[in-house]
Amino acid sequence: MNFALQTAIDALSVGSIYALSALGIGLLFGIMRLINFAQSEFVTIGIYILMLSAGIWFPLAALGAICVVVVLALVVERLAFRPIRTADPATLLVTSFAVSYLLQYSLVLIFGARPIGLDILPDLARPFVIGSVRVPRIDIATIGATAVLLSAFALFLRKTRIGIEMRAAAVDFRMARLLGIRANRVIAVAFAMSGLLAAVVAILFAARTGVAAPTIGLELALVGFVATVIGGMGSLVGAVFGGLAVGVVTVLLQALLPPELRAYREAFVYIVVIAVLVLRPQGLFRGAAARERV
Amino acid sequence: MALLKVSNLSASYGPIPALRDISLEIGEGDTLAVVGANGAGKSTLTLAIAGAVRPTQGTIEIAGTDITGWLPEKVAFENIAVVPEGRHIFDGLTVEENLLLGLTTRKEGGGSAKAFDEVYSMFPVLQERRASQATRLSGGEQQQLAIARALLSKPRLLILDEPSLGLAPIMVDTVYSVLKKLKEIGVSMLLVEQNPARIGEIADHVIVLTGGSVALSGRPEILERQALEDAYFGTSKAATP
Repeated sequence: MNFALQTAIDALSVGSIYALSALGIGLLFGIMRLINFAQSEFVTIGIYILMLSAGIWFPLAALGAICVVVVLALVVERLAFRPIRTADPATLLVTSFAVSYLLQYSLVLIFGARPIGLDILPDLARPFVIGSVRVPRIDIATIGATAVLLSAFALFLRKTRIGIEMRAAAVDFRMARLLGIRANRVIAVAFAMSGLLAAVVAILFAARTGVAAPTIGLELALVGFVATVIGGMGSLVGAVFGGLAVGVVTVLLQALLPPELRAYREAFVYIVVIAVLVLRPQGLFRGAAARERV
Repeated sequence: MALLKVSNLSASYGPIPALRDISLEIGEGDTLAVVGANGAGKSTLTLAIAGAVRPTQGTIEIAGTDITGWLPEKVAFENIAVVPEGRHIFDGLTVEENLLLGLTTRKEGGGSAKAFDEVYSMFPVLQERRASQATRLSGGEQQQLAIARALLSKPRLLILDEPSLGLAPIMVDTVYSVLKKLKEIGVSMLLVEQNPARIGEIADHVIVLTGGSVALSGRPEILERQALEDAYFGTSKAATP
């Protein structure tokens, strides 16, 4: 029972980080048909900002990381993606790789390739002990932060004018534009939101791992991409559930696989992903990937 | 001055030409019907006017303003509303949210409540189902929603691409009774339609497209059988406005 409860909390915690990563990628894909691999560097840079903010009151450091990553996302949109917005998805993808590598090697130049330790919110490493169950505080913080952020996003997307415009643009961008919805504004807000999500992932991931490294965000971006595919490309709800699902499967496999097979856990995760896509090629939720982009 | 003036318009999808040297005009309060076989360029024409397809040649003017090459959202702010083929209702949004987006370019005051009242009086079913997911509406109701969404912008020019396509006859009657009301209050329309009887009810002028070109042009009476067949099969003589 205790093992099951601890595994469930761990699964939900890992799934939460993956869900936030997937939402950041899914948001941009839904609107622009852009798979933004530079999302991984948004996370990585957020972690480096936290490292540089060592000694500063944590809420201020977190706010600083969020501001830097959101501004970075807006700059990347304006300089790299806006000029090629109407290009085909392959061009957008290659550009996102280029931006990703540019940012990654800029970090290598500045900070070096070696991982650097950081210690933010050390109290989160200590567990809550409830009876015989030990629950790491970082898991509770991750689940709580994700629940708050996803609820805020849901409210934003449902109750605000720009949120409704973004949902419409994610479904049918051309029709949205024919109604007068400004592409520049919707896309800029989407990039800002993906930057905000990346910064929150950076904070949670840095608190969990205690490491800053130039490639630390890569795995999260890859998982985020896989999660958006199995959730249903273009579906925001699908991206969140896809991320949660990948996290839950990852942790369950870690818990249930025989010790000698745990080294191959990722292979089993991707077998599950392939099985899902064979059964539901369109993903768990119907997305708008097939619709035309302007 | 014509409300819409299209001069020598050409457009293509990559190397494939879709429109060739199209010229047309729509006066204030007039309705122009566009007919033609599948692939004739009707939808491309509507999308080019709305800014969603970039012309390779020619000009598009709205009340004397050259809007050629403008982005679709900028064209929309010239109060040109589009009801595209297939309706393009937003999946995952409610009826009311779909309608709300129709207010994006509305310049006339009075608030959204008044604007909603206007369209709900025209389409009562939308008021009844305003909280429903829009894609759960029937085809006819979705068509009403698409037209209502376009009307919320108070358009000077309403572009409708096959509004009766796939609808039951009773729904087609409903749609056309609304279009006649719009005509009565002076809304200019560009109507892509295949049904000659319906065109006769509402259009002041007709053009027939074949292979991306204007094959025939004139009063709705030109749609009498032989002339239409000639135009469809490319055997017509010069256009006669």
